[in-house]
Amino acid sequence: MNNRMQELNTLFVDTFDAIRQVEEKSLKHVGGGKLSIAEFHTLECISEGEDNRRTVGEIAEALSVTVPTVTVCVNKLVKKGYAVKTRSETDARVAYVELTREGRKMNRLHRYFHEQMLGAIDEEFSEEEMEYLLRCIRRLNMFFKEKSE
Amino acid sequence: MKEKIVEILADYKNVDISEIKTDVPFTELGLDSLDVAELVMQIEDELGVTLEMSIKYNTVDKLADYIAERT
Repeated sequence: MNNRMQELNTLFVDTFDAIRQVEEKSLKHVGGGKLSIAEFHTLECISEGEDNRRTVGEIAEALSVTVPTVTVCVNKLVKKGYAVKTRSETDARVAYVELTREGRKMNRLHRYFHEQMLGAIDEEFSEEEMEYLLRCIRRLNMFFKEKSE
Repeated sequence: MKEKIVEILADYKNVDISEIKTDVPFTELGLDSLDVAELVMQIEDELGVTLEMSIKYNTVDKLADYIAERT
């Protein structure tokens, strides 16, 4: 690996870790330490479902994790008062997970955090740099998605 | 609209409405992001609208303009 590749490798790992750390620190603050990052992302996933609800299977598929993992996470969210389980109006065999008012509030704060983070990044770069950054990240994203399939 | 937000905010902070400056960022009014989220949700409940919590609407004036656009 030449120097440039070595630096790129270090930057990938460092940047990924730094983003996770900033997000974790910020969300720990807004959530009062009551929710983990995985729980915040589960709340987000539920809110993005049709009619703002999703089945456990749908959540697992969307987050690329197993159904038992989601079941544990959802049960914790229900216990903490951020989500509730409901039944389908047309098929009682189908159980949905929906956000409570507190769950919706936490999801809002999560989105707000991302907006703040992106706003801060936007201030760091010129219009031209942002455009270029976006193009590069798009290609990187495509590259890694193809590799993971 | 602005009056309604001021009323909800004053009630939430337990202060007189005269103490709420509408052109001052929420942070300067002593509100953190959790307070702003609660404020936005109370406005949604009272007005029956769905709002996005955003750094763009960081004062009562800006929030009122945004809500006016949505209703």
